[in-house]
Amino acid sequence: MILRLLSPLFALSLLVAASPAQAQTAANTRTVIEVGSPDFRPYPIAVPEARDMAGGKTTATGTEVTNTLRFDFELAATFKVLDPKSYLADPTKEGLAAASIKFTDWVSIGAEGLVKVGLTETGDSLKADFRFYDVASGRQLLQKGYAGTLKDGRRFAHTFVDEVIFFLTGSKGIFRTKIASVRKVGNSRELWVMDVDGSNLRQITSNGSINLLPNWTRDGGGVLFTSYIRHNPNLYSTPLAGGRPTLVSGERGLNTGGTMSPDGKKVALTLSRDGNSEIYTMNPDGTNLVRLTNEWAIDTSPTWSPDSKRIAFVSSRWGDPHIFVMNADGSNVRRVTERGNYNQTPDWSPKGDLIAFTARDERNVFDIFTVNPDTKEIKRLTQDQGNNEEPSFAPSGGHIVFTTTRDGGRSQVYIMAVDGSNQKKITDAGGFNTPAWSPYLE
Amino acid sequence: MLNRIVLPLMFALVLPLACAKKTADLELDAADAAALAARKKAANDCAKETYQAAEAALAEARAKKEEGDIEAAKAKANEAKNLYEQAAAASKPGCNEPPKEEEDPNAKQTSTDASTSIKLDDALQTIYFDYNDSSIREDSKAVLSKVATTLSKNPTAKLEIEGHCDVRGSTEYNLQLGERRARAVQKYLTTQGVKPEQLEVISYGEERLVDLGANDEAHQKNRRAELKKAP
Repeated sequence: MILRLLSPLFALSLLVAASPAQAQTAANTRTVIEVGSPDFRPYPIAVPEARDMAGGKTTATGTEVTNTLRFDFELAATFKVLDPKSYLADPTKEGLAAASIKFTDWVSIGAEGLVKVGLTETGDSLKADFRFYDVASGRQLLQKGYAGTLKDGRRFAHTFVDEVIFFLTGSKGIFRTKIASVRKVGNSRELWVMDVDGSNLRQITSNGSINLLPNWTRDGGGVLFTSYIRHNPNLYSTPLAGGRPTLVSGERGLNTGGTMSPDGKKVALTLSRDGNSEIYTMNPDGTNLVRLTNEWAIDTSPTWSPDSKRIAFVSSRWGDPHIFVMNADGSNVRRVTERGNYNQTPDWSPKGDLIAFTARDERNVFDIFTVNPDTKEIKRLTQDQGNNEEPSFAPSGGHIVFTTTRDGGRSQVYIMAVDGSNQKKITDAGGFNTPAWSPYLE
Repeated sequence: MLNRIVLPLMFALVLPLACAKKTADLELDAADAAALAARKKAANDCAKETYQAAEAALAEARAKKEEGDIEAAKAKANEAKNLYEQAAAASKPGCNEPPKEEEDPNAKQTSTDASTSIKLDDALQTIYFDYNDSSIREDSKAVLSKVATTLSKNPTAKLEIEGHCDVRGSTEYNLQLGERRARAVQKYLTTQGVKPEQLEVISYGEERLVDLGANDEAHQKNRRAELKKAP
């Protein structure tokens, strides 16, 4: 979160540090405009196949790197990856250096940016050379070298996409973050984590009990979750690396939806210990419990504003469940969804301007919407594609992860841009719910 | 109540989706649910042969799924579901209990615990709720009055009231709703004279469905409070 707040400074320092020519080229050729703005036009980028520097043949790692780059740039929504079939250059022949690239071939297919990758595989070790060119000027804007093993290829690609996004926009990329989710198999509900493209899917609890509602700790080192492992649904914290979950809140009754404030000072959660579901805050070590709501209705699902000063939540105090906002001390409660009659699962964007939520529409179908908590303006992001539920914002505020039944059968995890565009499936296994996007991890 | 009118519309929308899917998961889930229902009626003892045939069909369905033969997996899963349902239909609760023996006056003296638990079984009831609602329905009041009488006669007995929801709505909201249902039962029983310390509550939200269907009947079966012996 600190990094997010500092990112404008980072962008500034980057402009200062980059050579004047580079900065000017980037500024002259293209001002990358945010998705959702009226002037938005995606930045056309060409991503030819990664080149094997030893033999010129296509390797499995090369294909994985190329596919990861293309998937990430498409998902980023700021880019349009040009169709590889349209590329005029022969990827096995054209080199990496500016001198060996025929930029007119890339200009003529409409590219503004060009990504070139050279891979050197020696046994299990991998060296990667990533470059990013401005096609119009033929100037190299970025070059990064990475070394590791063959299985690092995908991670290198994610890292480079983040570098390009940071270079062009001054905002951190999201491709090294993770997503935690519950997976239902029969009666068991266990926690899993995966990369943003669905790869590296890994189970992080295996206690055979009911484990629900994961939310990341602010440092991204673990998740808070509710588990029935000791019969009562208590709140626990588990490190991502594995190890014993620690008890965070074990009040009698429900201890659900624990979510840490962006400044890391508080955890908001729902407890039923006083005979009814109410929202409380406490210190992350479980001390200093403060009750915020006091209504004979369901109050649940707290989510923090990025400045940690406000909390959005679900309340049925006016009959149907709706999204409300209050100050972090429980004062100044205000209803923000004025349409629909069944609005749940709010998640406050790290940018602060939007709250994403699930609404049931007049046909009893669940879809994802955003609402501006101040103007109360509502936008619909999904429609006519099964049930879509449980949105969670990326740390950039530019993307949302959610679950959907659009493919039939068991629910899958999808990612979309904040305006609802570029909806992409990232899981195949099915049975997922309540996905939660991590903070920035690197 | 609007639900009743709107729901058929929803099925019309959901049905083509269900047909378009490419896995046998729904069929396998349905067979699993039928197996559970059959076991609840002790069909594995009462209709042993049919039940075992169903088990075999389900195993085959899973094997076909593993092999990637989805159509065969679906067919076998449906066959298993039908067999489980036949087995359940042919079963009566109690068929697997030993026939009652002549009363033995000596045995009777030593079995206070057993007789308590037999009487307590009368309290292990399930009651049902309306959509997004936790008030005790008229049809549940007579059931709960009997439960209250049983508990009053067993003042040391402890029950746990489990609150459950149907699958619609969010995980967390449904946990709160299930809790309200369980507490509504707890409150009703205490107004009927049951001591509060005899009643624990726990909510499972939508995590313990008894019917995996996506229809009104299945939703109604899932919106429930189950009274169980406290662990």
